[in-house]
Amino acid sequence: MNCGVSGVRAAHLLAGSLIAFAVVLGGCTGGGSDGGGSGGSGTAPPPPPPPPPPPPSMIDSENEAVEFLTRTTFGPTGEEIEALVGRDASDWFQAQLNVPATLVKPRLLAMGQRNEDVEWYWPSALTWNNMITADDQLRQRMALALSQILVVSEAEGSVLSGQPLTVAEYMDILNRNAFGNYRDLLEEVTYSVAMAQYLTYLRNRPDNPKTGEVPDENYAREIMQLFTIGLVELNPDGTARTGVDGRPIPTYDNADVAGLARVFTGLSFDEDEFWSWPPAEDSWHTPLRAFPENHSGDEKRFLGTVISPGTGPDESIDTALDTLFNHPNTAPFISRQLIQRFTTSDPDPAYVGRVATAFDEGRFTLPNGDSVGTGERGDLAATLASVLFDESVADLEADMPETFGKVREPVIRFTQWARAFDAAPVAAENEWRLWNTGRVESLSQHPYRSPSVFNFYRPGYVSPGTETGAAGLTAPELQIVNEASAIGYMDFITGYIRNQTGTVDEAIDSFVPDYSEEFALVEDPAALVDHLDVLLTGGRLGTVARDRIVAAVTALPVDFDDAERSERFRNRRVELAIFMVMTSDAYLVQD
Amino acid sequence: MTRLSRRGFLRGSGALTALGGTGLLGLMANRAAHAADTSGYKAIVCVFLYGGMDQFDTLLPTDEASYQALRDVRGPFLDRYDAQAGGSSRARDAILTLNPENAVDFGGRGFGLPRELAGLHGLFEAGNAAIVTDVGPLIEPASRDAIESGRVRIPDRLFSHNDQQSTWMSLGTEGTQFGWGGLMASHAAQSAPSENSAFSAISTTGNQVFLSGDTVRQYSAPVGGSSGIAYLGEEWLLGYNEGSDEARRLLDQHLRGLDVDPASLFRADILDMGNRAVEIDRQFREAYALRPEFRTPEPDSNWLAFQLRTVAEMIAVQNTLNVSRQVFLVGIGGFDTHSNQAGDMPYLHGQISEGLVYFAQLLNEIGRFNDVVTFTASEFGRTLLVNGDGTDHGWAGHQFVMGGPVRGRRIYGDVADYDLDSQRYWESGGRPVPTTSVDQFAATLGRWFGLNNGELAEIFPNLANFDTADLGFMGVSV
Repeated sequence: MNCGVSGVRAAHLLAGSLIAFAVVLGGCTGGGSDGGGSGGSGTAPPPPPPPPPPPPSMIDSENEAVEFLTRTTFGPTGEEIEALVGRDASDWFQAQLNVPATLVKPRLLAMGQRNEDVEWYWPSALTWNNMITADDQLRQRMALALSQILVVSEAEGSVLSGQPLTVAEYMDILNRNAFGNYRDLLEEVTYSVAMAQYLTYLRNRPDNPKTGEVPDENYAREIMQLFTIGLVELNPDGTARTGVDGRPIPTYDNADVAGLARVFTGLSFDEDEFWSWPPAEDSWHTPLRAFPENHSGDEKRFLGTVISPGTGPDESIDTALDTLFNHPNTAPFISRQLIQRFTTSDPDPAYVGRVATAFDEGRFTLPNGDSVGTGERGDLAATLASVLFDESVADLEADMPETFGKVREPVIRFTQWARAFDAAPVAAENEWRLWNTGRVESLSQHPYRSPSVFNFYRPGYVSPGTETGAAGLTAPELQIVNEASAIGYMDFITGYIRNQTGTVDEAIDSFVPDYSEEFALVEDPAALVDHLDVLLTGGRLGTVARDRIVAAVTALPVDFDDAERSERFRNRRVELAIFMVMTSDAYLVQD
Repeated sequence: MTRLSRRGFLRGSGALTALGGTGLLGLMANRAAHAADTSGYKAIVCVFLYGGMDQFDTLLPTDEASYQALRDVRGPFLDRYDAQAGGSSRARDAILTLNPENAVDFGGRGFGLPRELAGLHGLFEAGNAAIVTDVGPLIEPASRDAIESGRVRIPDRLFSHNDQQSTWMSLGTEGTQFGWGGLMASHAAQSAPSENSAFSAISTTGNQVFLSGDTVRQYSAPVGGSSGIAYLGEEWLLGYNEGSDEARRLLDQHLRGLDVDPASLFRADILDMGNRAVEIDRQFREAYALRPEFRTPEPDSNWLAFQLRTVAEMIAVQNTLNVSRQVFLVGIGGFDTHSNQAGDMPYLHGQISEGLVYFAQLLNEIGRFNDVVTFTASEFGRTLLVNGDGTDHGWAGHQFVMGGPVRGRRIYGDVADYDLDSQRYWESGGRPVPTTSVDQFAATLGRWFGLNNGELAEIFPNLANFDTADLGFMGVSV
């Protein structure tokens, strides 16, 4: 196994000043384990067949760099595009694995120790700022993906609204574990105050034969349906298994839900007493504590697992999470959703199968020959590597089928603008519009503010009455694409492109774009549009759209006797060109 | 690629009737007879209550025996309402008694509503609203024994939010492509080909399969009106000279994706939506500008009421929109009351009641109360057993139907009692089996909407499994 970074690669990384390049010298991820482990799941699986020779991952052009950075960051910047050309995407990926996490909670604790000491908008504002400016772009992008699987929401009306430290702690759990292990992530999530409040198992109590009360089933149901195994039995490639009647086979029934619900009893704040109220300040953002005396002592039976009567809470939860994590569905179920967040909405089953294998084996070999992952089942770095460098997507020059691609998430459409044009200062806390982008008049999406635990859109969404729908393609993001949201996005982005958004502090004009490069091209509309085409779409505009944008920009006159008027129209040319590229099919769809 | 080219042609035509009225799957259904009656104006409005509303906490027992039976199961839980600051009450004497015309059907059992539903109570007593009870998705009539012995088929993925929302809306789990609201609108639109079916199926609650038809596609209406696409509408953005006009013309073509041959199916869909966002929004704004100003004051902070106002405004301008049959979908969430139900439910009930009363007033103002029927739906009811301070996912639920055409002041259907051992309950926790199917409920609305038996049988293939296709609440027959 070639785990270290060769001198040659390290040298040109240094020369390229890629974001956080230096840490790549720290070596390979996961400490270079020897790959002998089988995930500790008992019987050793048969050795996998030798992998096919990896495709090359050299970035040969700006367009390829844009394509790769579109999948892996919150938008390519001019500098990063330049730095990546002539380099190996595998190296970039490895460097990113070693960039320390940019966390939210430590920043908030500097503002106050209690939820009520911190303004409600801060977790969200810092998330915006981190997405746009943080060096750990890949980690932040993975965290956003995970936040759409392991959903909690601080949307208005949610129990978490107005609990900034509680939410920040949850954000950091996803950030810290973004390249960690899914089993560890599940455990941290399960013991988080945020999830316990959001899915209502905080202080969940055992069956009470006297009153007839039963444990709350919310988390038991959703951790199965949404976080681990899903509703129907899956093949290793994510397709549904069918029974003798030709129909999908349910993974669980209500008895499993009721049995598992007993597991998630007896969790409360990290206090001396189960019912202590109010909890100490830091109990709102530290892991829950399990109280054996408030935990169900009954037998817990679910998915073929039986936890004997009298088993304590931590042990019961451990067993339950192991059962879910080791279920054969979990690898393809999570893998398919991660693919949908990074590369394509309706992945080929073979692609899902390969990523699920990386999840299972906890290891993936990058095109440069290096291995990623600890060798333990559930390794997310290996899984993500497999998503991004799968043989079906790694060749950035290949012609892709008409079924490939995904609608760009609205949140990323905006962050990409901010990064492409180096908008500054990045201070989302100062932007009224960024305080709530969830409305249809805005982006119909706001990080960590899903309308429900079912996310903004469903992984299985097939859009009725459309081309993708007729072809039976799943297209999650199309669930939030409609007439009203299309206009909402256009008008939202118009405000930013034109730097006409209201600020909280009127003295600070945040998100001022730097269009100097574009202004230099304003007399040559074709060059201007071609520059934007590369920067924003990786050269995918197509001639009809490109020529029309050039014509529209050219139509705006810039030579007036009045110099001020000329200047105004030069601005208009740049703004119109950006708006038209950002509303083109080549930008709205990532492919 | 021929398919994509055809779509390109459609986009290029710019004709709105082509946009809205043409089968978007290329399935311009060749129905032998376009039989739907499309005289006059009619609209169906679905108020979806996302999360699964607790029916046991909505229709309350008033007779002593039933009330005590409920207390035996939910006693401490009911007391929680009185403990809430400024809260509600589930005390027997706090319940608003309903006086249904068909009280005799229920023997000695009496029913009432919590005080937050006072507005709906008033509509009911005045004969303008009815309650349909223990309704839910079914394939055929079912009971616990029949289910447990495998004698009857039951819908897939019961108790799953997204799948049961889909099942209520489309009779199938998530991923189903057509909803019964959209299919009803499709039948009506095909019988009135000169109308603009772009406004036949309208949502204010995002993309929902309920409104997806085979020849009609839903339109997402902007609640409170649309300001349009700023770059096209605000002329100063591009200036006032000849070049500006040309740029605007090209921008308009660009946003509509004119002549672009899409490189992928996703791009085709995005281009199509760009066209709709320009064209349908333009028509919407032209009509919406003619809306009346209502005298009835709008309730504060009531999202349901706000959506319903937009619906009423669109109904008021249906002539300009050129459509005589419309299906609307509005919705509010928060009903998944696993926790803190005593704190949340009174508020939610209040929103529903206030919103529906307001909507009735608006419809009266424009003289349309007798042409519009509004109903509630929710993916499931909840468990009879409580988990302490909340309830879990059930199956059957109770729904309200409101409007001039409704044969009101009646309760349609059986109401499960509180005996967990009875055939009405299945699975742990007390999950009531529906005794009325969504198909029957929907078909009753569809018949009023103008669809004939053949059309109803096409949309609701399981209708034949039940003893009646018309529950009578639309005043036809009982």
